[in-house]
Amino acid sequence: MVYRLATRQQCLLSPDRPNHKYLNFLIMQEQLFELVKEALEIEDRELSLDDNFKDYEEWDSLGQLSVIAALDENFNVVIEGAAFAKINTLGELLAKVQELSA
Amino acid sequence: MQKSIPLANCSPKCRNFQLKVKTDTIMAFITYHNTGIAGLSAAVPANTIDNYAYTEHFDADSVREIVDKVGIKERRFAPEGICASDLCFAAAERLITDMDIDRQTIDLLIFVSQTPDYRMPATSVLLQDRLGLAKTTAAFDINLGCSAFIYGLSVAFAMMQTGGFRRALLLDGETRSRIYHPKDRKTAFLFGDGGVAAIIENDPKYGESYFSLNTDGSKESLIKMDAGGYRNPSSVETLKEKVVDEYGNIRTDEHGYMNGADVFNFVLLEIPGNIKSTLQYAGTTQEAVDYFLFHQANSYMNGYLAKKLKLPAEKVPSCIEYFGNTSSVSIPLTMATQMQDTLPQPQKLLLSGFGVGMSWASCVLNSPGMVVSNLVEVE
Repeated sequence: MVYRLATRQQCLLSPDRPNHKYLNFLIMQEQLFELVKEALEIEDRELSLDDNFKDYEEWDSLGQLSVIAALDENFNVVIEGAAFAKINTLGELLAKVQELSA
Repeated sequence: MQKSIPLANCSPKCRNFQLKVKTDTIMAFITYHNTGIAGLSAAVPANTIDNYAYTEHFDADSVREIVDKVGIKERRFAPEGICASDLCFAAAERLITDMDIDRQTIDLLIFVSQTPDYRMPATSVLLQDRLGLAKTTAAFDINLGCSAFIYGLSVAFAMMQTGGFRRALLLDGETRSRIYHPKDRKTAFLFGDGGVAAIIENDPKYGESYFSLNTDGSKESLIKMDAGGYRNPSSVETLKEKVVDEYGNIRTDEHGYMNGADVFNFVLLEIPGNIKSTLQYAGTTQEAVDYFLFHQANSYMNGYLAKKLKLPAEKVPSCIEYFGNTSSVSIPLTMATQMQDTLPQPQKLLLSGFGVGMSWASCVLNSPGMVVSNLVEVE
């Protein structure tokens, strides 16, 4: 796996205080799932970080435009075409969004 | 090894919405003095295409989905035998009549297009004769796409600044409908035909105008026609229809193609920053500009661009619904068809064109009032 995700275990190293990094990650993941569902008009199922979103039945060039706009609007992130072509799973997409917004 | 996960950028509310202006990028900025657009006219084919009923190759539901998203209800297609030059000729004749211009005072003729009459001679040369202009007229073509009206204006303004020309006639025409294949859904519903004519004059009333011209040839394959030039000459092979992607889209190597998502990415990465830096260079602000005229690509992209720049809809005229994407013609076509009542009054305008190349250009113009002819329909 190429994406940089903090595991639950890594994030819970300090059990005596809330772990902001992990909470932050969960919020961002939730935001990403929501925007992808909205952009592609997915209503009937939950998404997972391992999903190959380009294989979704709802994924097409029009859907891609909506995802690009939503990433820009919600995360202030624009992924170059060549880089986007290499991204397959939602986990990789989330990692790229984190990288570009860091 | 655990790497840090950014805390910022998490909530849209706490995010900084400021657009980043690339101050480290070298851009071609130019200022012109006392040159401006005195008059503008447009011509389109009378032949109107209902975009919902354009083709039976795709099922009606997917056609409706595409057409609704791109927001293009109608387009104009030139009938066989009508070229971009014919549309420009019709527009020029109307404008010359409306402005009561002595043809002998037009010393410069520029034709902007990527759909010329012939490989040679240049179409501008043919138009010099058709329009009855003097043999002392300088005439040449500019081959650029969606950015080309602004490039054309810049070249015309620059030449007018020398004082060696009394009037310039800038013609900009496209028959983009012929470039794309009706069985390639990525482009089939977008493009239309049109032609415009603009008269450029010197007068102190025009004040200063500011231009930014830009290019990124590394993105040549985002919008391209692979064959039919001298790199890949026309052959039986290049004229064969073939399935080109996993969606079953069909075209030949001599039809244009476009990767719309990558183009959208390009626009988001380059255009808002370019508009900001052009305004900065012009010493003005977004609020001080009366109208923003963007290349009419599709209404989804244009709508998002206006939203990103926080522009009120009434400051962003659009004609995409009626004519589709007419490449370089789209900006002046919007001016001629949507601003016939407002352009005769003084306005501060920002024009921004972006596309095939990739090539993009923006300008800020003081328009103290221009003649705008009625739209000409060519049978």
